[in-house]
Amino acid sequence: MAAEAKPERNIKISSSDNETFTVPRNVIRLSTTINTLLQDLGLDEEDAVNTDPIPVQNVTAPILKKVIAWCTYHYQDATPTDDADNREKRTDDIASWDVEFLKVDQGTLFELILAANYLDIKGLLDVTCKTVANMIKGKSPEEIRRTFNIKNDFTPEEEEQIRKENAWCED
Amino acid sequence: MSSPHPASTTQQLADLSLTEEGEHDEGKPLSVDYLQGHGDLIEEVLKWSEHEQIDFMGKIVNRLSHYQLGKVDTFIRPMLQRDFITNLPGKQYILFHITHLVELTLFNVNAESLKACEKVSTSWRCALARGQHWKKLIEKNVRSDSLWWGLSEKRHWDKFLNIGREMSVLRICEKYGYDPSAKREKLEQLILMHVFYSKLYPKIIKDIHNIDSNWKRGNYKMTRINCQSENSKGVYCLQYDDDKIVSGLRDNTIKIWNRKDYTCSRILSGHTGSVLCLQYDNRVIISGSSDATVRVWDVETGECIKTLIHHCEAVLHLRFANGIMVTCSKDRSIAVWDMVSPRDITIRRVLVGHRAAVNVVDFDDRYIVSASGDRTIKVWSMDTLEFVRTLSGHRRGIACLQYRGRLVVSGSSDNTIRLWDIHSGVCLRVLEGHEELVRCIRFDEKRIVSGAYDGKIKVWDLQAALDPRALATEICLCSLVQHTGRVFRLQFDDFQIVSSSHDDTILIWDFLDAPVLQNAPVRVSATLPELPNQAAVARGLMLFEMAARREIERRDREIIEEQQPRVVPRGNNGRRVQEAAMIVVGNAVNRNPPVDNDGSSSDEELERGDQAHPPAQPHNQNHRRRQPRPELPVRLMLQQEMNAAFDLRRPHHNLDHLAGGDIDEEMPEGRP
Repeated sequence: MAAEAKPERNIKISSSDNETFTVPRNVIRLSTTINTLLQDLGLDEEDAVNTDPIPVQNVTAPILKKVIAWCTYHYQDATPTDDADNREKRTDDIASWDVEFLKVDQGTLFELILAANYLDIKGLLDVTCKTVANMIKGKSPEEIRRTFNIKNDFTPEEEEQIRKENAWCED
Repeated sequence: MSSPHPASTTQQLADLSLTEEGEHDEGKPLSVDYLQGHGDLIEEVLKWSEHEQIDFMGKIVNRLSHYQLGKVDTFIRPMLQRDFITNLPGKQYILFHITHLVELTLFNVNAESLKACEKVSTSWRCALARGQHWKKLIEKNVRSDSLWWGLSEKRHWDKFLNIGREMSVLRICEKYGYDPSAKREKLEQLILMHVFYSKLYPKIIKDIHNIDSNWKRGNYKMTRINCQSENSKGVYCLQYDDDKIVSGLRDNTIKIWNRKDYTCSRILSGHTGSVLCLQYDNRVIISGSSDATVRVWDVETGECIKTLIHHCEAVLHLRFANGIMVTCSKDRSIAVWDMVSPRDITIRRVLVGHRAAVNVVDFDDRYIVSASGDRTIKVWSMDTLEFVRTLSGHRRGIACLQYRGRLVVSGSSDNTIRLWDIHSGVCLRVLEGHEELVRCIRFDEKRIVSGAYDGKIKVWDLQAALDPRALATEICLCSLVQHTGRVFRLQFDDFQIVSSSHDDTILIWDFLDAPVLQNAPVRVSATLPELPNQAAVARGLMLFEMAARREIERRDREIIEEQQPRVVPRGNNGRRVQEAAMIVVGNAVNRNPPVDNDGSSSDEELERGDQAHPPAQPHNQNHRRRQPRPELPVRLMLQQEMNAAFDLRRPHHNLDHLAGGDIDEEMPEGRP
């Protein structure tokens, strides 16, 4: 691929199962991991030729495809202020597009969180984690177990202990 | 991408019916044909590409019965579920980031959910310990809610917050007498902290519930300071903080009381009349007196560093903030001062307009608000120091008010409290219940506390007062009766009221350490929000906005109805001027205007300016219909208002006689 004018430059990345995707440079910028890699390897130079796709380990093709779709939709968003204190810990502010986008099974959501973490895509990580938090909110322990198919491995004694610790108004 | 059925109720019902029928399926034998053939078929299918396999499965699934689909679903669903909390750290790359990730997920969850999360499984509990979510939640609440913040200091658990792991382990061990060197291992430390903070949280919630219920029941611990004044007994004003109470007395002194043992730690002498008002900050105490002066004192040394002589009668109230001081006086004027430093205080402007003593002022960076014995509240622009509007409605003189945000709350000699919107000038609510003059009033985001001449202090629910659906009985939370004389001044916060009285005492009503009520229901207000003050602010703003809109609409409707039949009476010249002033100024003048109150001094501080008989007209329509006039050039308005006021003094007006009661026996100043 010849080096073209910057906005049209494309980057090739390949999934763990060796499927190759071609992504606009501006879109993949959202992944800090890839962004830094491209800069470090000098692949952002005008004359750089990106022949070998960048291998993205640990991310399978279907997930990578979703990640790219998310980035394509969001790449023009204003960059969020990267301030831990500033990050509003609210879960009800997920944009409707993202809500639709994340209507996936838990396995996929799980993989998306891992991918967002690995690729260091803050916005995606944030929104996926909030989605999981929403699945926990307002549920009883038993409902949470059922939601995520978790086995209750507490012994009766431990359960009693926790019950005591959590007894709000009884002591 | 597979898209499983959402785990809905129907789903769960389907599961139930399946498990029952499934038991019958268990024993059903599989045919020989099937057993021989299905292996090859699977091999065959697996040779196809991924999307072909999906296509094939789709075709099969489409032909299945509902019962079969349900059965298939029970295979698939658990395969698609994920234990996000336990399994995320399982992936070993960058453990730190993953922990952070679990943290991020859990941080979005509130206290109730944290409780539930803890009970899910051991690994969830460990994840919580690793993330120290209870500690973070408490720290977050202290940052965002002033009640939490105040409580953290009062209960001394603030020292466990905003510190690192080693430090917090050290402090926890110190508190419980553990040996910190026995807790060196990180996981052990984390669990110790986790248990500590998870136990602290419910204690805080319980404290918050108790305080709330103590306020509602009027349940307090009482501390009494007897001022033991020698000649003139009575405490006119006070202000407090955690260490001291500064009080202004009728015996001309300022006394500072130590809050550790409530002894008098300093006496400031200099005024030659009662100390009627004071305010202090970390540098100075500024006091106003019936000797007509304002004095500035060094808060540390008690030295009088400046005396301001300006008013020609008693200084009834003063406020200062951000380099500006406003004082008001029995001489009917308000003075605005520039405070460059404690020694450099110069007068900027005098505001004239009230027709009786100005009993109280309050201000922020937008408005100065003043209230007078002439029954009106006047609003002045802080920018231009010019008159903006009048709030009318009280039927007798106004003794006290506080102003914050858009809300003004005033107390009057008509025994009522009124809530006003300062922007529109509408009265939002009238609170009735006091049986004598309401002498002092304060409010915060949740409550109004008022003190009256009958010695009673009442606590009102501010939110209920703004809510049109609330019944009058729901608004007054409790009456506190301990003073044996007029309540002159009070201040309160989330945990206490401090009040002073003519009975020469200062009382501290402590709602935090109140005695535990026997046979009280454990949970008085289950609906109390977790962050009470933050919630109150949000809810208060909303209620205020709604109440203001409602009243403005009603007022505008009345104006329209009023406009058609209106006939301007044509009398003598003076009457026309008066009428014109009424129309232009808005409610500057009542139809039966209150009189000029020369010589009607009640107690020495307070100039009520009342008549013995209140005006006969229905009061609460009168003020509404004249409010929304555009703001006029102020000079013109003042001129007209003064004309009107002047006109009123003429004998042809049928005036009520002045009140003769409530005269301060010892200080008959101002009497002819």
